[in-house]
Amino acid sequence: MLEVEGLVTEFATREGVLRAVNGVSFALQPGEVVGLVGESGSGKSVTGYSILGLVDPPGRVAAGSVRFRGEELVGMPEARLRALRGRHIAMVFQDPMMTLNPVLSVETQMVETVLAHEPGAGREAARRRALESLDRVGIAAPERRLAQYPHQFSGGMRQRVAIAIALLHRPGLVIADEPTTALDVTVQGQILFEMQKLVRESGTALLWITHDLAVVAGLAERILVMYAGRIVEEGSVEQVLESPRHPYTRGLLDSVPAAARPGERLRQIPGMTPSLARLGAGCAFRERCSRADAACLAMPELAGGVRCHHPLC
Amino acid sequence: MLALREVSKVFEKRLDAVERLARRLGADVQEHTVHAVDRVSFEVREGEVVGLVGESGCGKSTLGRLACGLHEPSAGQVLYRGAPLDGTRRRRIQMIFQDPFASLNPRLRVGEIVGEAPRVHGLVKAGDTAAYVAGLLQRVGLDGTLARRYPHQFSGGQRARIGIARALAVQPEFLVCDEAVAALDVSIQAQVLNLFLDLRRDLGLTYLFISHDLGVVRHLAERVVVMYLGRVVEIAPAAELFAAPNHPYTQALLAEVPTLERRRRSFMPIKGEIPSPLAPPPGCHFHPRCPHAMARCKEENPVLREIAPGRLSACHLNG
Repeated sequence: MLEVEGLVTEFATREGVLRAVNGVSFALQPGEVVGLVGESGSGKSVTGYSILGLVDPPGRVAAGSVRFRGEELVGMPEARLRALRGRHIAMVFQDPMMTLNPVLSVETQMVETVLAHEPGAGREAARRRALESLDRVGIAAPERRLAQYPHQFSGGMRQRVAIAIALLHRPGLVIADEPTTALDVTVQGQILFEMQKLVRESGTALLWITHDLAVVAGLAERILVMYAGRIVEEGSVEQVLESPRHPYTRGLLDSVPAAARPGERLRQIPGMTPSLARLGAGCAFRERCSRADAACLAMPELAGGVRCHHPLC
Repeated sequence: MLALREVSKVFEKRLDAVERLARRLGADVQEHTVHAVDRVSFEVREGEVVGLVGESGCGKSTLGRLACGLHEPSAGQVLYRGAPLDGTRRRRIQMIFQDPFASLNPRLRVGEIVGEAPRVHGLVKAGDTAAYVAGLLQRVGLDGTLARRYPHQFSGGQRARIGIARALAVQPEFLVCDEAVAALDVSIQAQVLNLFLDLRRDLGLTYLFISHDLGVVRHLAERVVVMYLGRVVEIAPAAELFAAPNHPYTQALLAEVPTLERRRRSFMPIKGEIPSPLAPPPGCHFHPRCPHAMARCKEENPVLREIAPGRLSACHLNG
């Protein structure tokens, strides 16, 4: 379905060219849910944007290939890409107002989305599709809701509308960038429930980008962990969460307070994420890592699901 | 140490001249009244960590501001060591804010941000301020020589530490932490949580720790207060609350928390969303979403009462 190979995305800045995504490769099967996990600045969101060709200057996809159903997306003409985006590949953002226009009614926005990709569909059919889609994401009274404007919706409801728009064309792939991060727990639970149901029913592949390991634990089948622009570990949910092999993944899991005994000091990772401008050669995690030695001055390869010279267990 | 007695906070949006005119001409414009905090009572004992949890709009931040005197209560009393808040008492209670980007003045050097309040309060002489600030920065895990830098030169985690240093500068006994780690990455959050634990041990601080993150609260708090739409629905020792929540809202909240142990589970969400605080439902505020709601819940507001030693809950199911 989706094959990403050696993806490199660079940003030209005053401090030089920064590689936000540095040789990322992975694949997604139809109906598969993959969690792409990392902290701020790890390059997880830029990876999502790069797949869709949404990286704006000064950023650019400098190398690598993204194939969707066998078709190369990198370097594809913008017109063709636009036809694909929204129809076959959809994106859901953290802030639903990235998707929604505040001065148009939900009906206008949804009907236009349908007609943009299927000009011959007709307004009435497009409206029916919009109603179905709202109903599918669990919005009560879709008839009444359709006539309303985004400000009349709560945060959770807006995110549902954004998801409903993403699903209008029943896309083969949905890229979701932290869609529940800004929501309350009970609302997050509802959205996760709807997404899970949709993936199961329609066979849509889902790339779920998040910093929250606990969310992907409940949702994904596979996890990719990113650090400083590279995938440092990948594997099944069980494997990555129960027996992580990269010291960074171990450190992340130990940092989650729920996993520790109440009131005890958490086993923290020292230091902070290095600036991309000062990475240098070698493993990007070595300065925070207790297992680092001279070997770590050379960049380890991603082998057996882990990018580390001294993997755990 | 800190006692809230039937504390309420009401925010009113009065009509401005245009709206008054519009109303006279027959437009449907109304004054809005929000009961952000509705008759809340609980105590925080000396040396204790109390967690205050709830979702957006439940009034937890307003309550935090009432506790440290940033808001005047509309009704009820906030007592600190048995007496109402005044100047010196207020200094003993400091607040740590969520957003490490918005809560530091970008035009001031870190040394001025941290050193200003203790100098004004006469806790330190002008000549000794630099050394005092350096000591505080070290205390929160920053290099003392960073005092000449501006906030934008620090990362989010470092800014959170500066916010903590500023609060500690006036030698408080009590910290109100309002979502103090919510904006931080997991690995940085762990470092700051450890700092809170260390400070408590070394300085004997008392905390009111406000958070929407139940994992964080479970880790830090000894007792937990759960709020829903301005009211307290449950108070219990943390271990008991997480093991056996009593109130249906607390149960739902705990069931929704994604954890590392629950793999590829089926999410079974509770229905609906939090109603608008402008028009809360009558009776028990939670009844429209509650799976156990009875006729009585729609009419009568359940009182918060003791259901076991040290445990309080506000639910008609308890009889």
